[in-house]
Amino acid sequence: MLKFLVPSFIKNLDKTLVLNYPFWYIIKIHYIAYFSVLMWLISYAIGCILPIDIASYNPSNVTGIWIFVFAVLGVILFCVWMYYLTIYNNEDHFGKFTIWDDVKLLAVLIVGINLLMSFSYPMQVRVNTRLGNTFTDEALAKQYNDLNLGHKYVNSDLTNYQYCGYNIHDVVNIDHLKRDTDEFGEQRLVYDLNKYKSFVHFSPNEASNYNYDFRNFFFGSSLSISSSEFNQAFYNELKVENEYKLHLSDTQKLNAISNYFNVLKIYEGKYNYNRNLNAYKIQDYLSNYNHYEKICTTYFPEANNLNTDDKLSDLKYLPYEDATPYMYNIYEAKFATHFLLKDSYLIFLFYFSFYVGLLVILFRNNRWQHFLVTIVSFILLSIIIGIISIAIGFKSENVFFTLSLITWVVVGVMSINYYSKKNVYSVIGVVASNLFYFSLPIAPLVFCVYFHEVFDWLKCYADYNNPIEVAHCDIVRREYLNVIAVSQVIGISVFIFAVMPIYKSFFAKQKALPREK
Amino acid sequence: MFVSYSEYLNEISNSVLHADYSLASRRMLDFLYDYNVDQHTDIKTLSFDIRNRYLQQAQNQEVDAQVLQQLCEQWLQKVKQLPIPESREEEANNIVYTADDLCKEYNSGSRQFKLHPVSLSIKLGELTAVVGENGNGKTTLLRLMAGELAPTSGHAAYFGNEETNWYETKGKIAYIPQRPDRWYGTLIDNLHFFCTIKGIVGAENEDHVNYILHRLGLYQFRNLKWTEISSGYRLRFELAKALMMRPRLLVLDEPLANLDINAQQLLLQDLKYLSQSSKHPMGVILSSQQLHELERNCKNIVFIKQGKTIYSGEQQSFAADRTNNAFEIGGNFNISDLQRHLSTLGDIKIIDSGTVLIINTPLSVDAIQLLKVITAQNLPINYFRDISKSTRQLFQKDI
Repeated sequence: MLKFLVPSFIKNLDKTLVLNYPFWYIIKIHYIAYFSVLMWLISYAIGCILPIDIASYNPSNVTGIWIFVFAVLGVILFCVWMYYLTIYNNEDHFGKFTIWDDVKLLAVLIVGINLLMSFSYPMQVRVNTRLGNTFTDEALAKQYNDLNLGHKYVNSDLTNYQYCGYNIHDVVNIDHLKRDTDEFGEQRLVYDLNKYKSFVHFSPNEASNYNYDFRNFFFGSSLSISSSEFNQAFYNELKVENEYKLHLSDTQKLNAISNYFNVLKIYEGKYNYNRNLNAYKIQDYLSNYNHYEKICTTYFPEANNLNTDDKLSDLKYLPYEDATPYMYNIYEAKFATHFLLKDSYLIFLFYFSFYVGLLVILFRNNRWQHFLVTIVSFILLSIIIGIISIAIGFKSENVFFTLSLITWVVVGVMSINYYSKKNVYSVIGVVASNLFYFSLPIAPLVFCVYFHEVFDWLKCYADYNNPIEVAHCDIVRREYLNVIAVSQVIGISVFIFAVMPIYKSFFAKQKALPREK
Repeated sequence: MFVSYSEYLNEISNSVLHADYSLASRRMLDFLYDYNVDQHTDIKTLSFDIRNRYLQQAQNQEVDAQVLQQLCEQWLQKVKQLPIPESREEEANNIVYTADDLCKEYNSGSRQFKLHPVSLSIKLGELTAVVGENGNGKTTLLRLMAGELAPTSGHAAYFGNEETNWYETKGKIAYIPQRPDRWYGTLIDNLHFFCTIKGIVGAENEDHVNYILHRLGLYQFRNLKWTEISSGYRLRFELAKALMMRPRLLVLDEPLANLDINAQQLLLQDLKYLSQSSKHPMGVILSSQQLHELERNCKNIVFIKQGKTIYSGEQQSFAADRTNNAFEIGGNFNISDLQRHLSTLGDIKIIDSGTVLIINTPLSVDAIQLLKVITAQNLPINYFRDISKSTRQLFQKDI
């Protein structure tokens, strides 16, 4: 089907491999590598010509369809690859093999699957780079600064002001703050419109949520950082506060408001901004700012120069827009950890390709009928155990876990018994072995979860009014997460370096065993 | 068992003398590889050239006998100039398979069948035929021997080993079922692959594939796929694949079923020669209904009837203790005419098998005597065969 796309050097390589290296001839990873390079080139070219829209909330909109197309191409190529993988099978013909062949195969499959999934990466990286290069680091920082330096004059949010009787540079007892009572009799704090609080209202800092993963376990958690150029150009709280102190005349304030709106105009798209925004001039905003009663209040004063239409539409403040979502897209394109390197994505990639690889290995080591029986058995066993757990009712999740473990032990014993003693092919033995084999990488993890859930190992219940208990439970929880991570690493390592080589000889033996019928 | 150096040359000389270039060109290639003569590039090139010319000419129905004869004589001259190699010693233990009371019983629903205990052994360089009526257990026996089926009872030993490592053992057994599984890719890719997984790599791989392709007359079909070949050629393709792994035991189930008469004879002849290779000899067992073709080429016969082994041994020894002779005859006469004309020969029993008449005579009456009487009576015969020592007689009793 794709023969016309295969150059002669790949065909020559094929000939060399079939004559000398049967493992690599069977795997055909050179085809996958070749088609991946082709796709990367196409993908990169598309990334170069796709339009960049800085006024889009979601810049990946434009790449979405291409990501889908490349994903479909990847799936098609994967199917073709799997077809070719079934043509030649060394053990079907009792050829020479080593116990490490399946480990090699798994490694190659992981690489191949990741290559097939990577077709759209160059395009995405290229589009990101182009988006990130829209402005220099300093220019982007200046845009943030302009927004922060004009915000005071255009904002309409009480929470941007300090509490009445409170100075952010002083230590004030919160109980002494001035309070008001609303119409429901609830107390509320009063804000001082003379004192602006949020000097860095716009900041692109990423949320540093605790992100648990292998990398954090081994290397500690890391935060993405901006470039030094950006950091140097970006004004901190003190700098913004000091800059505001310099705005003494209306001209200076007008200039700050003008800068603010100039930034908004950069990102002005067809549908993005409030339709009323262009109806007001920067002078309106200054008049409005000057109109504010510089007093302590629980409400924000209504703009004095609102159009009649806007009043009718319940707009009590001059229109106010935020360009930071678009700016953040650029900031992210510039500095954020690329999704390819994000822990969550890497872990997903590993587990996805690892288990797809294992399924392929099982398929190659079994008759296809018995491979299907294995899949069906797995589903049926899960359903049956689930039904029994629900039927018993009492702590059904514990019953489910316990029954699953008992089943696992039973299939394990059947598998070992089959391979060590039997000299006749047995479908039950094969299916039990497949189930056992497939579940082995996560066996340590399952054991940890089982002891945690059923026997409350590393489980902690805290009284949330007691900070010492809460802190203690946090430590226990983190310890449990560490154990979970270690159990995964151990499970997969032992599986790859011990179980797979042993089972390779089992699988080979199984292929040769005579059958009953 | 093995064909010696001088026997090879005599055989090839005779073939050339009788203008049988098909056989001559095949045996030249066998000789080339059996005695490592392929190191002599000129002889190797000439051998392949002769084979190629023969195959091309045979395909076009235009055999230029003169050119072929010249090339063959040239070949013989060159080979005769080579130093005669030391004769090879035959393997002390040339038994590749032994079965002791091997029994298989099926009890699945409506189908119940038992292959009663069977004992036999297969030797290197020998062809063994399994014959019997349909559904009597031939395929079951072959599958047991190929390690495809587990016996219900009894014991089988492969290559002199009492304990069987199945993976290793099956690597030395080539089993070609009656309906081979479909395979994918081109023939040549498959052959290279089969060679490589057996550890035959690089130039040796190319040489071996080239030899088998030419030897079995498949060179021009090397780039074809399964779907592009006839069922007759599929068998040849399967045989080529099987030979790639240099098996010690070759098991074929009904290999003659889809072949024309020439192809049948050619295949049996090839099996016989290939099994006798001094470099890679093998034991061959096959089942077929082509009784006479098998008896002419196979050393041993196993006759199975309703799961029971009626006879297992050398074909020559069959019916050594028989009490009468038997002959098949066909012609433009009826059973009563024949009965009347042969009454002078004593106690004659004639059975009509449907297509031919089977004459059972006392031991004292042999084929010559019988033919003398028939020709004396001017009976118009068009078919005659002495089946006194043939397992055909075992079929006859059922008629």
